[in-house]
Amino acid sequence: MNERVKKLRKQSLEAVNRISAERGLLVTAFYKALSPMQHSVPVQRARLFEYILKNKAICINDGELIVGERGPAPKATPTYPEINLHTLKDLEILDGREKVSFRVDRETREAFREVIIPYWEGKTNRDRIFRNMSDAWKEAYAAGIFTEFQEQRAPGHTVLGDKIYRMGMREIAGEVRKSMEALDFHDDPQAYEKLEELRAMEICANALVMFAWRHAEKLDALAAGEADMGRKEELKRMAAVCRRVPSRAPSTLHEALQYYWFVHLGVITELNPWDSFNPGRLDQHLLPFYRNDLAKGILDEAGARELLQCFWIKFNNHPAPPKVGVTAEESNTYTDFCLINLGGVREDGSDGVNELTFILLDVIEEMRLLQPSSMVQVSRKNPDEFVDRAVRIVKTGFGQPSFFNTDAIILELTGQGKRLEDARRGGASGCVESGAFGTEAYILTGYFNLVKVLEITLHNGVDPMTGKRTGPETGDPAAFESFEALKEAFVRQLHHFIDIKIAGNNLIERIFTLHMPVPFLSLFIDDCIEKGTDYNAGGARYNTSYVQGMGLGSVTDMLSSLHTHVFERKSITMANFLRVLADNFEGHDALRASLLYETPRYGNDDDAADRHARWVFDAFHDAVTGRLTPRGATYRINMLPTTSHIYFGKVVGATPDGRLAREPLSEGISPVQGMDRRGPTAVLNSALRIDHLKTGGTLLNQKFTPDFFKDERSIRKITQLIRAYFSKNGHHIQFNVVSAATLRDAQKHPERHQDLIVRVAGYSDYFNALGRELQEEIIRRTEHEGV
Amino acid sequence: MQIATIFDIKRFAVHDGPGIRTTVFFKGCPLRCWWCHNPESQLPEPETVEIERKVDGRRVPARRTYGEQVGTAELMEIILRDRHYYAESGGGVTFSGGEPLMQPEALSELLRACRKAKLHTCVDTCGHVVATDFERILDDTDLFLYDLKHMDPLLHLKYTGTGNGLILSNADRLLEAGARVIFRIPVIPGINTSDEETGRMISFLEERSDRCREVHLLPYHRIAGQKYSRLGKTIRLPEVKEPGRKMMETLQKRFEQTGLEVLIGG
Repeated sequence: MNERVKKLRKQSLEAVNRISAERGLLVTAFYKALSPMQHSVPVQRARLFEYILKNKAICINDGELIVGERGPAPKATPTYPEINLHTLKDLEILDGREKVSFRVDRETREAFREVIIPYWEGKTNRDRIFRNMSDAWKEAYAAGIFTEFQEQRAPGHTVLGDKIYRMGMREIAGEVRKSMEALDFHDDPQAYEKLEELRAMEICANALVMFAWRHAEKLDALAAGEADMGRKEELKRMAAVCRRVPSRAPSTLHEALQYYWFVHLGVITELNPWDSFNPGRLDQHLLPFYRNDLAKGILDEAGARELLQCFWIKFNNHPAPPKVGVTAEESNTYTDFCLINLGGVREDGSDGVNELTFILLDVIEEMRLLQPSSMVQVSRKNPDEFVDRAVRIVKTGFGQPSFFNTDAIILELTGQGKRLEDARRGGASGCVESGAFGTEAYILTGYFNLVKVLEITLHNGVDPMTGKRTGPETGDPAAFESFEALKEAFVRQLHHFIDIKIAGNNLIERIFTLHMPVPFLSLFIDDCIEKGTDYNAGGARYNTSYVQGMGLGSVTDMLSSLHTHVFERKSITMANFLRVLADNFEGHDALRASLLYETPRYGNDDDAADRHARWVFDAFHDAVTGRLTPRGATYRINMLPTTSHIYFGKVVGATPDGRLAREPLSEGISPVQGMDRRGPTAVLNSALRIDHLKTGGTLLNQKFTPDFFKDERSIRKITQLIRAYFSKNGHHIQFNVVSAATLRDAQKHPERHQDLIVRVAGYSDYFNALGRELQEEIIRRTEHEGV
Repeated sequence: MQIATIFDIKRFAVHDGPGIRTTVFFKGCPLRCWWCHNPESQLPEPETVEIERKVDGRRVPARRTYGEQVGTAELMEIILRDRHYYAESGGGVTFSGGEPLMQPEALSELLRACRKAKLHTCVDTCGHVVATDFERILDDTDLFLYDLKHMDPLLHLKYTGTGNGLILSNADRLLEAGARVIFRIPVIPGINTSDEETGRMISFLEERSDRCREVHLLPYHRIAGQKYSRLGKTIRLPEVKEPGRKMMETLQKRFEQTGLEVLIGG
């Protein structure tokens, strides 16, 4: 890392996360001036996009090479009042909360009080959503049976393909015009809607070019006033880059990176989509530019590294927009889930690892930043040296990169009906979600609390935490004569709540289709332009909606406990067991010890437990998969938690696996924390009992102590462990390499461990930034040590 | 079918031979090493002891049995569960203990089954066993991990309860029969780390360097006293410090001067 990068990195790390009123004020001014008949909805959104890019402050940070900030300064984070309005109380909470806080200064608070709140109160998309949800949906939501991803953020979860490296905005706008010309006003009843959408896209394409030119002007002005001759030249060169891209296709590495960054800013300015935006297969996309620059002497390897490092810092300057309420609980982090993909295979199926892959891995290790997140795609085509290199970064203990199975992802995607080439161009984004990059809108809709459903089943449809009837009467479990009867009741409850969730999803999807189109994002995802249809209306070539299953390990262990103790050993009756749960195990240490130590548990390659995992997974899969959404997407499942296992745990009482009331649940497809006693191969074998290929992603956490990675031989064994898991179609695995002692010390002396980054779920976070429960939970995850 | 008495199965064992392995620990050992980490491995029969389970810091009394009698077919089933990890890593199965050759019938049956399943096999032995038992398993064992604890017969007797005559003659027998052997030396400061002792070990290895090229130095780890007291046993080892990294590296260098490949840890 050279001096420039060191300085930029320090600036980024030290920048305080704060709320900026800039976007909120611009959006309000725009809508206030708008007359209702003026534009169709898509054009209105496009004009707003243009208005923001025309009027927002241009920020060029001292010494940087890649330019552009979403707010007026690094980490100055905008809000999206048309989606979700922050109240003064919200601002107070954001400013004052201990974790994931955002400073709110007096001026910002005033702007909210005087301008933003008075205009938007009752008019946001969130208001629209909650007005339209059924009572059953609201009750289930309040009970913590599921969460709703789109209540404070827009659908996104998408990744860019290679389009911008081939085409400038001029060519893309040309595509838009061609599509307009092809509209058939005789036979296509939707031709007018398409025309409006395409008009909106064209406005957005031109707006981004204008935004880049504003940067060029500012850079020229800075160059004129710059005393340092070196920097002066640099600023001039940067201005030239901003005049060329995004208008035209990039011709150098610098232009390619700057182009992507403008597009990234556009996507996260248009709305606040989940997972921000993502360049995807960076080592593939950038390789031709890198090689060309080197061949022509435009750049040397050190120069390329410097540019990439500057690019990395831009991501770290952009925390996730502020979340409140349940959304903050399910995803409580600054991370905005941009997940860089490295390795994997090329479009033709050959090994995708190249020299830039290794350079990017160096960048990840050296930058050691929260954002962007990074992963390696591991195919059997990739060399071991590549995986070893990634394992050596994991060894440094900041949870990145995570490991994904390219060959399984391709099977998942083609199994969903995608073309093989589109599948090979894909990968994973967000935490672990499989997708076809540049061609798919795969939208996560919310977490689904499988544990809560079993709890409600055990209480004949009543939520024991509130005493309210929430589900149908499926029978008094004390009267169940067989384990099968319990399973049947569970499936009925499951379908009941999935029906509610999906009815809500379908409404929310329509709300976004009608009121919140994203014509800018639609420019980049095929075939939105060709179809003249917005990303949020089903314009992408492939459309998928996910419900994320939560608590597989916990619910498996609950079923195993009930099966073992009530039905098999008959050591306790169901009625007594339920009383013990109501007492939160008080005075029942012996039973609890037997549940914790002597009952078959998921994660130990023990069929007595694992068959329940398979059964629950299949029941959940069958309840969701294959249903259709209004935009023509197919519902599917994936298994990942972010931080919802903490939130979902808080709404569940004591459970038959020995867990106390309100404690966290298991996360992803990992075993209940600390319950895997037979080492990592047993955990992986248990995890393989579910069919990963039927999902759009599973998340598995493993924790190792640092001494496990002590030499090259041990590192290779981790590589082999990963390979073996992947040979059986495991989707993903990630490692926390830090000793429990270190984590304990960090709790006691947070000041000494301010750089301690740990793997949480599908992302890493600062250990100090985590809530106490999550800290405890991470410490409890089993540490595997070699013998 | 034979029944084996085992006290543990360790999966993802990465220090007991090449690759990722499953190690099966047989119960029963002819030696009584002062530094033994697994006192529960010594007696050949299962032992039940009183223990305490912890639940939120509170203690719940419970019983625990060390040692389980398992049929070889069931053991093979467990072993085969991880065969894709062995295949990926060039790993396999290690039979350790205790002393696996204390149960030669069960061991040879397991090794034959492994051979049939094309698994790499490894036997971790103290060497103090009937010579003909080695011959029975020779064909089905890919690698022997062979412990050398002390070269002085009297000190060996003092610290392990037996002399080393049989151990050393069995070692030569194995080498002569063409078996692949890696010698493993537990490094216990003050017990087998004197200059003189190290010299004796080195000359033993040098004399056999045409048939054995590899040696592992296993640093001593402090013993868990709790296990001893639970079993009603007392630790005989006086306060011994764990060998530091520097000491291990110095030793490694000395052994390497003979041209052997020397590994710290397994």
